[in-house]
Amino acid sequence: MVPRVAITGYGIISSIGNNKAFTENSLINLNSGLRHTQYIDTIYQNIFPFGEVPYTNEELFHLAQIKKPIHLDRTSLLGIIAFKECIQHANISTFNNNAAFYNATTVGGLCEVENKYLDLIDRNQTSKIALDHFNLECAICTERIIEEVEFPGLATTLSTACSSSSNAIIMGARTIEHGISEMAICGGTDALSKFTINGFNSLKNMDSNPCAPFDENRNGLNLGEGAAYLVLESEFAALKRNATIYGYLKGYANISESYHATAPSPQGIGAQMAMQKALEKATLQPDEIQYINAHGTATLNNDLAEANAINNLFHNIPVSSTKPYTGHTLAAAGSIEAVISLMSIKLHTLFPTLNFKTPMQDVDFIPLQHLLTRKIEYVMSNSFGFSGSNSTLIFSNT
Amino acid sequence: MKAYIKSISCLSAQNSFPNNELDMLILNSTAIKHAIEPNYKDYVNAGNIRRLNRIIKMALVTAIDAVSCANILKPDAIISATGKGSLTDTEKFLMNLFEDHERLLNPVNFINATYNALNGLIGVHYQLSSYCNMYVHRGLSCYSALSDAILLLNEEPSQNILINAYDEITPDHYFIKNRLEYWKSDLCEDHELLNSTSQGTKAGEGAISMILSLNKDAENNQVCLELLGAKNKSSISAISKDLLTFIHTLKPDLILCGYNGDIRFKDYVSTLKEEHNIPVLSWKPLSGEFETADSFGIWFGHSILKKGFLDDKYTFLQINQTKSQPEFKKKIERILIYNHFFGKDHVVYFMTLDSKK
Repeated sequence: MVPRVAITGYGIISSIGNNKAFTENSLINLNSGLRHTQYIDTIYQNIFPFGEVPYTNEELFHLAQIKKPIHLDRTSLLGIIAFKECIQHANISTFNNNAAFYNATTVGGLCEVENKYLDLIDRNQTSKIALDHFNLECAICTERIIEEVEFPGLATTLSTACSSSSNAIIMGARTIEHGISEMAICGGTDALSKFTINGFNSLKNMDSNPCAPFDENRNGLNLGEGAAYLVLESEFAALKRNATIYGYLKGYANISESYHATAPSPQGIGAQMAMQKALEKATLQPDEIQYINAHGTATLNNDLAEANAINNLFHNIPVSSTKPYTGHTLAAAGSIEAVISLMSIKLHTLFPTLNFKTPMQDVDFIPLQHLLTRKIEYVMSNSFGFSGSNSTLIFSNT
Repeated sequence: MKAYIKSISCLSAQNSFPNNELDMLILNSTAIKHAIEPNYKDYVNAGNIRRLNRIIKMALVTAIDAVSCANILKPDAIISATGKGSLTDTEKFLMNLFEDHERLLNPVNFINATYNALNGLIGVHYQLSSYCNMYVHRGLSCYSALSDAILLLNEEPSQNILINAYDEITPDHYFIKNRLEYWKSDLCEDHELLNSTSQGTKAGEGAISMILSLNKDAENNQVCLELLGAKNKSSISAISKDLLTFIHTLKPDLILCGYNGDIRFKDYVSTLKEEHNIPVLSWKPLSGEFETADSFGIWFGHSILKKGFLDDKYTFLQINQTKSQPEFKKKIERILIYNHFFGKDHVVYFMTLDSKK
């Protein structure tokens, strides 16, 4: 029998809070973490709002309670903080050897490498660099985390742009359903970097005002940073160790549409297929879903496509994007929004889309605008990325 | 955890493309073993690849070649693996960022530096709506992609899944990794690499694509690939113990290992050197070292299995001493593959020739 995938813990850090409690508090009080960046040396410092975690690397190092005197980049630090919170929440003291870790990142150590790059390639500098103190690739971020928490299982890293950590969660679930692991820690981490700021700016995808998902006058996204991890466990294993179950991953889908490298089809064909497939996997009808945590980046293309896709499948369902709170945290977005979805289930609360004023002209779609108290059984969370990558997760209360 | 390799395609520092066998080896003393680029226009519309840099073009070509050699119209899913993605795009975007002080940047480099850019391009080429995933965990990338694919095949057994593994090297990246002590500082002939007593190795690159399926073709001699295990880190004694167990239980006719001539990591293959019954060869003098070089090992194993025996020209790749030279001429139907990346990311595969109809 295929085991049910239980969620037995989660941890989160973003611009709206460095743990679960602060995050919940910010969401309930509709507090956005978007502001001008303090820690990145970019010419866009005072032009674009960012969802920056309001701590220096030194402060994050302290927050992470790092045991060893080691140099860590920001992506790894954010990851360690969220990872430690999720295993504490899941009440895990020792890991089973067959536990798996699926980590997602798009930036990895580039947030640091970009500041040293010209020195690194300076042909006049021939001094050796210590192999162990340099995060040049995504794998190293994952390694930093497993070394700090002494994780004994297999850890790997995936990167499918903005859907990355949703795909990490899907991999964890499949590993459990196949009986390969009883437990998988899944999620993602990304720090703000000049590379991504300039990348999205070169695509003219960034709004100089706080982002306004699903608004007619939306003008792009705001980048954010953060990390979130979920402990996925076979229900049997969770019950055996008397773990508290905070919800279940009921359905999921990973579908790429082949339309354009950086934009979805206006009808949202890929998004619709992902949501449809996830419903099939969950054996649910659309009207059984009580809330959608949308990808809702506030780019012109995404919101039109996603709204069309949702309209094609659902009727009058509360939909909100929590990107105006956290910013778009790229590889971490899927797991951050998965955690927020679980918070909606736990707190019986749907968090509204901030900054919405004017409905879109091309599609009949109004996102949730006010905090709504409602018991939720099923919540859907969308994450879409470059190259037409669409991933949908469905969490259930019981 | 196993599946059939329906087709495989490889661009490398050797003449591995498009014939899947090495007639003449390309051996020299260069520090970087650059992959030989194909005539792209034979595979893709020139307009479609005009703005692509070389590693993405190479991987696109091996992907298209693997799909056509598998006699399928299109793959049912794409799962890719890379250590560095399109390094050229990443570097161009970074340099552009510094030189233009964050203004007037070319978004094309940013888009193609995104790790899953290749998946998107293949998707557009075949007009797919399919499962896509992308692994970026250095030496575990390829293993992770293959294990995802095999799970997928067990979920939907009729699928043909396209796997792509690729990495390139650039002058700047070679320089950085040189400062990180990855490469040899002395000149080294390829045929001397495995006997080297210095630290470091040679840089390499490649693009390898394959179609995996659970269904055996009617055709004879299909190669079956099995994933035996992977570890982020391992002690030399634990690796040695695992390898001995695999040798004992699986009885391979040949062992391929990824020893790269870096003296610092010779102990990881010390057990294999003490094996005297079957040949143990390293493929790294052919391919050079890169994050997804285990995929070249799989390609090399595949070509040996298809041929059925070891060619004499591979003698210099042998790292052990077999009791008698005729061992080299024996029929080869079972190959154990072991690789690691600079002491981390240990992976073990097993390949067999399924000759029964």
